[in-house]
Amino acid sequence: MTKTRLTRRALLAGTAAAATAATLKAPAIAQNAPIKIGVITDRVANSAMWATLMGEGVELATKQVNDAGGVLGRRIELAWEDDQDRPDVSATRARKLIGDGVVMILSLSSSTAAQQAQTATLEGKVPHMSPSHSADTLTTRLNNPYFFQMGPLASFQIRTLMAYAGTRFRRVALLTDNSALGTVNATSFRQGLQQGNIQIVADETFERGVTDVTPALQRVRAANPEGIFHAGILGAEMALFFRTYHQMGLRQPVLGSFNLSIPTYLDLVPGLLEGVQFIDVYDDVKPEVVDFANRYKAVHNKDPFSLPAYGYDGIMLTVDALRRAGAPDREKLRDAMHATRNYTAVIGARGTTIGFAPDRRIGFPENGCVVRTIANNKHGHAVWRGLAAS
Amino acid sequence: MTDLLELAVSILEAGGIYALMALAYLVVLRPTGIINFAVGEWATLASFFSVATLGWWNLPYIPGAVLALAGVAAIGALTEQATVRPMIERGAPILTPILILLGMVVVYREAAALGFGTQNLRVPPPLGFGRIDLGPIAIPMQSAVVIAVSGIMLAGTWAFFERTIWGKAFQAVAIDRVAAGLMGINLRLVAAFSFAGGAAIAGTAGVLQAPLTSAHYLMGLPLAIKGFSALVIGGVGRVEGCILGGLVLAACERLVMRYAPIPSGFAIGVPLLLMILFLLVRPTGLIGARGRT
Repeated sequence: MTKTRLTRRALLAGTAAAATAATLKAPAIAQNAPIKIGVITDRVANSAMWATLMGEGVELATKQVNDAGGVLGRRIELAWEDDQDRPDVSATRARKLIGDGVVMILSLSSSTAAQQAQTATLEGKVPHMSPSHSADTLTTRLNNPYFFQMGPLASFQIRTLMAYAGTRFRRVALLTDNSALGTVNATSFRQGLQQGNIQIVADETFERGVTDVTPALQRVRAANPEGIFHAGILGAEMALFFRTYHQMGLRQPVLGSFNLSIPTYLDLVPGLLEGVQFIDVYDDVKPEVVDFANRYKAVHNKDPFSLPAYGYDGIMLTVDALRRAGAPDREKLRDAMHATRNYTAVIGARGTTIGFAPDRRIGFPENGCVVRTIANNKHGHAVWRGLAAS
Repeated sequence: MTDLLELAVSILEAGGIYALMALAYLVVLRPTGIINFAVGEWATLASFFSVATLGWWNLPYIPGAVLALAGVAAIGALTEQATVRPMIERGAPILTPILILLGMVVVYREAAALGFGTQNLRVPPPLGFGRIDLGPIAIPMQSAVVIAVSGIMLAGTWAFFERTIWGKAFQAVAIDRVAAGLMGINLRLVAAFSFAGGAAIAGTAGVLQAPLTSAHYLMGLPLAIKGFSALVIGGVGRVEGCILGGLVLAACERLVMRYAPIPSGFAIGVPLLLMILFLLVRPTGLIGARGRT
């Protein structure tokens, strides 16, 4: 009996001690509900190719913030939604996230989906950010003061390519595909080339699922351009272009959008991208990039590139704005986002920063792109930064 | 001259792929009466299987490709047993299995995305990407492979239908299902074999196409559309119709892309325009079916 009583006492005492200890040792972070950030991604459709990779950066940044104690004494919690790259679904998912109490929504799928999701974030008055989209029209088609675009506009990309190579060409071919983003990119490229008085002698679009691009490249060959600008984004069609380009013996230099910064192409058509010059936002000598690369590699055991960096910066900029806002309040966060100046992100050329001018909601600097060249089936260092040589 | 020769190769190559896709529809449609819009996803699955057998496991090309096709043929047969046969045996209208197979498109696609991811994956070509120089023209090696293999497949399928007793059984079922059953033809076996065969033929198109473009879980739909258009153009009846339909479609597309004074991207409308045109003017296609359907 005595033995039993002692054990019970010990048990009670132990339980009480444990409960007290747990209360005393619990960090402040656990006493508050987490701050929810919504992420609209695409896991199954056309933009899954890049949205998935951006998601890796989103998760990496969230873990880094939470491991360091969170923000405003609270953990970050991600609420993921899949819009299947469908604009109508994207708006529905945004509404769901707003109902779930998120303070910010990041759109990782396509520009068209992000455009439609804005109808919900404008209505719900919830800060909404596109970390990577390049469509010039995202902040102009709808006057949504809650929407912020962080990626390099297609017009910035073509201006950078023109600054880098424009004087070399008077006659070029412009290629793209019939994806929404490919079409938008091509429109900006076309305007940029025309403004630079460069004649577009062949303007070809590859349809999604095309099995052969020989006729289109015959038209290019017949037009005899000095260079080929490629604004397309679809992987299979891009692979087909490079194969046919080599098989037809074309020699014109190829200059591409930021889509060619995706290393998948190096695996799909190994050796066929030698000498290709492309726009990127990943300046691999920048200290922030080196730090990000080390963190990413420690988790994923592979070298990162621009796409995970966009997602990483999306969370980090949100966290920075939350700190400046002082509270996870949507209006305060919106104001803090718009007040962002001189934020040094992973993306962007060395020496450039992200910031939103009072009258604009485009954060990426016009001189923030770099040009890189592919050599030995690898992305080389930046050979050109911004709108002037560096 | 070089342009025309290059276009001729391009037409034969694309025509071969389209003809195989049309044939995949036909092999299922003739004995069962079912239009199977999942043929594009069968091509997708086979291309992913070839990523595994040829890319990851590094099998020699022919055994690797055959294994990939066997895999998708098995899926075709299983699909028939698990989803189509129960409906047919319950006397469901023909629309029911068509709708079920439309649903299977989503199942196949999501399964491919889950199993292989959403990234484009490389499929190694059997003979590399060199060129065969033939005087004024250099034929890309993979184009030669596509033309040769699709030609062999189409000729083999034609011989099967026209020269074997099994093929005659298929034709008999196509002409009069009830009578064929009364004559002792195993209708279940014919149905299972048609689905397996259709899957293998569509899979061949996928395995041939993937080295050029990559394997991707969304690659099936455009192939399915082109195949269906070729089927309508050629006529829903015979292998020769699939071949002719594939070649006519590829020729129209490529000539529009190359010579029409419109952006080449507008060629996307060619299959649909041709399909509408044939349905209005010649609904039986260029070559009609034999007997009663």
